Amino acid sequence: MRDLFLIFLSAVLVNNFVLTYFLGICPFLGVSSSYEQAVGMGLAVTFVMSLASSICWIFYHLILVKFGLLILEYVVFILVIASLVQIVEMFIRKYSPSLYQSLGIYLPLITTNCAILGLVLFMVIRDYNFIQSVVFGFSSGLGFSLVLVMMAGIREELKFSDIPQILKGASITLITAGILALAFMGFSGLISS
Amino acid sequence: MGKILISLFSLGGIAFVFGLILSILDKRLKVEEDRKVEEVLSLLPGINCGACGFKGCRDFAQAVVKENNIFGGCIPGGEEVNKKLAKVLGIKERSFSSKKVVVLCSAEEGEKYSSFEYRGPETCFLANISLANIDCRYGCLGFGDCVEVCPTQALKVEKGRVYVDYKKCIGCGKCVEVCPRGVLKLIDKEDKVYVGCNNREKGVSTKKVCSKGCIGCGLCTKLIRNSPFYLEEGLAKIDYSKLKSISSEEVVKVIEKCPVKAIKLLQEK
Repeated sequence: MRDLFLIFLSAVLVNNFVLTYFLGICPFLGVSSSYEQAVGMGLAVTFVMSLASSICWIFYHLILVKFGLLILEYVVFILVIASLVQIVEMFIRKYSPSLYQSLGIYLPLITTNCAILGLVLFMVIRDYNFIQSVVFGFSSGLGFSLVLVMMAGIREELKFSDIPQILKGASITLITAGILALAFMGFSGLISS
Repeated sequence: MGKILISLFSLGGIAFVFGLILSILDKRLKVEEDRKVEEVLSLLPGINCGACGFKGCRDFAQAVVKENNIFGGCIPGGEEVNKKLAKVLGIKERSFSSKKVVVLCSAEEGEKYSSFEYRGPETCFLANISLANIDCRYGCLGFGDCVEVCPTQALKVEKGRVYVDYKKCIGCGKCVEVCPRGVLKLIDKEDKVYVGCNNREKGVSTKKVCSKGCIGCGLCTKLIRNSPFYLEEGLAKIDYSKLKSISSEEVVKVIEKCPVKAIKLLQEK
């Protein structure tokens, strides 16, 4: 139980995918301009991450390891992730056309989101068992959404602040992301060992 | 050999399972998209200007198909697009005239006098609710709020004056909405004459704040018979319905006679 909690805390705060490993920066900068979009994207990524980690664990341990097919590792992982994203896209398109439109190209881009492939590879490297990988996937998604929503909140405020002409647009966004990452470094002492 | 077969079958099996799931879900979650909407959408300019009153071209197309009505029509598309729209929907055509925007203030920086230096936020909206940067209470403030909202970048500010690029202007009227002083006005695309001043004060007061302003002398109303020009609160205006019956020579005569050259002729592009 304790290790599960540690995995959770580590994935959400200490080793956050976006702000510590710098994975998944593309949607982090692309979809964080409005709060609602960020929540939608966060939910979609969390869903894909939790399912991807569990399904990939099953395939990895029950098929790849058993038959000695570790060369197929990446192909299988990408296949699983791409199919999951396709399913999510179908659901969103059916039940929330407005969200589907506002997410635009970023929704199919989850397929090649490095955060998700990174998650699956970390899971393999760290040799998590099934329960651990499910928790790891879910909490990583949660961490991603948390950062995305925070960024969206800050960027919504930024629209009304007096930014020097030279920093407007992309540069102030990158500076904000950098300061957020610095702030998250403060969590690094939270878990020793 | 055995390994190759195993990898072939396992990867194929996994792909097959996912393909099966996806194709089942695709059938279950099929979204019915009206082909008529797509057809209407392909006719529209696709610039999402919002001049029709809807959020964008897609919204407009959906509403058009749903209600079988083209409402106010597509303003940037003009007559041609609206005719095609009516044809697709199978309803009777209405006549549409496309618009363009004119700037009712032709004074440059320096020609509009200001008795103090303005150091506030550089937007027309905020300058207008404070004391403003020019003395004229009706003229263009020149901070370019209109430039920012223009979906086709047809407007630009030079020397404190707004210029319109008529090759780009689609007559959506977004700039008219955003101008706090009503300096911008939509006129029919065919019309070529406008009064380049918005100052409604008496001639003496106008002269005090601007060297280019209309002084309300009324010369334009008297020079020609059945003149389309008329005075309203010390400002010359044009009755565009009358203008069509006036020959262009007579209009040119009036333009040349105007003592402050406030009446403008748009050059044919």
